[in-house]
Parts: sequence; structure tokens; C-alpha cells
Amino acid sequence: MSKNTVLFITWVALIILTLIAVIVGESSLHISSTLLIVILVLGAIKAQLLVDHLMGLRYVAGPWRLALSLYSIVLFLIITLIYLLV
Amino acid sequence: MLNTSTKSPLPGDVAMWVLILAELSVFALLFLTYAVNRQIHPELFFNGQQQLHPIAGSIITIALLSASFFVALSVNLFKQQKSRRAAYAMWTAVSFGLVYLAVKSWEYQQLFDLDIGLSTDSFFTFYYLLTVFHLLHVILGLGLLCYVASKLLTSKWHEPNIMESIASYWHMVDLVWLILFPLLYLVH
Repeated sequence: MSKNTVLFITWVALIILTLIAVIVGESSLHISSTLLIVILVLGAIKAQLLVDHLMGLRYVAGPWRLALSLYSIVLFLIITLIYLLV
Repeated sequence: MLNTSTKSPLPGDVAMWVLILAELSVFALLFLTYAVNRQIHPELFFNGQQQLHPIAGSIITIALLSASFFVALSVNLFKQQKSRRAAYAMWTAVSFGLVYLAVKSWEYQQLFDLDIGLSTDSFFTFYYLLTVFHLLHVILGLGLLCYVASKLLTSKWHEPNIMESIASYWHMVDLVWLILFPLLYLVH
């Protein structure tokens, strides 16, 4: 599969995930804990796709991919904990 | 098939990546402060979020993702020695960036019409702080994309390092929005 095809598939996947998140978010006035987790997990998946395929860090040597991946995952995790526990 | 056995070098300049990490750290602090304040004033933040337009937020998200796609495509085409096609892809990315600016301006105008400003309440203080800070990054990114797109039309320009650095900066702006969007528009 060519790099451009992978990019295109990533782009379509990102848009689909965005639409799913919007539908989930707008499905109720007050969002439940489960839906909150779904939206934030979708956000983390989108961030990972962006880091791997659009930023092109998937096969890059060194800690850069790990740093960028952890950024969104840890941030969403902390936000989820704040929203659910505080 | 993509070659997965060898590691690629970091795209762009290391200095740009250090800047990206610094910018992301600033945004992370703002996101966490927003999340804590939302828990302190849940009703106020809920009422504030009801004034926002999720459809506008969705259009902005899709515009930024599309811009990022065309920026990445432009970098690939440039590496394949297709400078003119790379320039067209970059101008397409700029167009999607302009869609973001148009929708964001419309959104601000809607809020101003309702007399909602920076000092209305703490939700809107955060809203304007986060979105205007992000907007400034988008404007800078768009300026850089325009620079690259215009250079690509001149066949002698061959600076892959600069192009990759600017592309990485743009993707960082997109990454920030992917976190900002659910926080402001979807989680209420």
C-alpha cells in the first residue's frame, strides 16, 4: 500500500471517528460516565492516528513517537479521572 | 508494502520538535486547569457549553483534519519530486485552514451578538483563552503554509527539512484541537 493511500485511509478514519464522537456527545443533554469515556477514548485514537500517519512518527527512531503518543493518552486519562473522581 | 524494518529519521528540525513539545506543555496545563475549574463550577460550565455550536466545532475539526491530510500529502509529493502537485496540495490545505478561520469568526460573532465576552464568566474566560490562543497558532501556521506553497511553485526550491518542520508544526496545531474539541463542545 502506498504512503499516499495510507494517508487517505487515515484521513477518512479521522473524519468518521469525529462524526461518531459528535453523535455520541450530542445523544444526551448530560453525558454519562460511559459516554464520557467513549468520547475521550475516540479522541485518544484520533490523536494516535495523527501522530503515526500525518505527523509520520510511526517508524521514527528515538522517543518522539512515545512522547507524542503519551501526551494525548495521559492527558485524556487525567481529564477522565478529574471528571469522574473530583 | 511499507518498509517497517528500518527506522526513519525525525521529520524536520529537532529545534521545531522541542518547540512543539514546549507548546504542547503549555496547552496541557491550560486543559488541566479547564478540567479542574469545570468540576468546581459544573452548572456554569454546562450553561456556557449550551451557547456553543457543536456543528461549527465539527466543521472546524473536519477542516483542520483535512488541512493536515493535504499538508502530509504535499510533503509526500514533494519527496516524490512532484513539486507542482505538492504546491496544489499545500494550497488546498491553506483553503481548509481558511474554512477554520471563517467558521471560528462566525462563532465569535454569534457570541458577541449575545453580549458574551471574555469576562462574562469563568467558562467563557477559558473558552476565549483556549480558542484564541489556538487561533493564533493556526494563523501563524497558515502563514507558514502559504510561504511553503508559494516556494513550491518555484521549481528550484528544495528544502525538505524546512517543509517537514512547518508540516510538523501544523500537525501540532491539529493535535491540540483534537483535545480541545471534545473538552469544549462534546463533554457536558
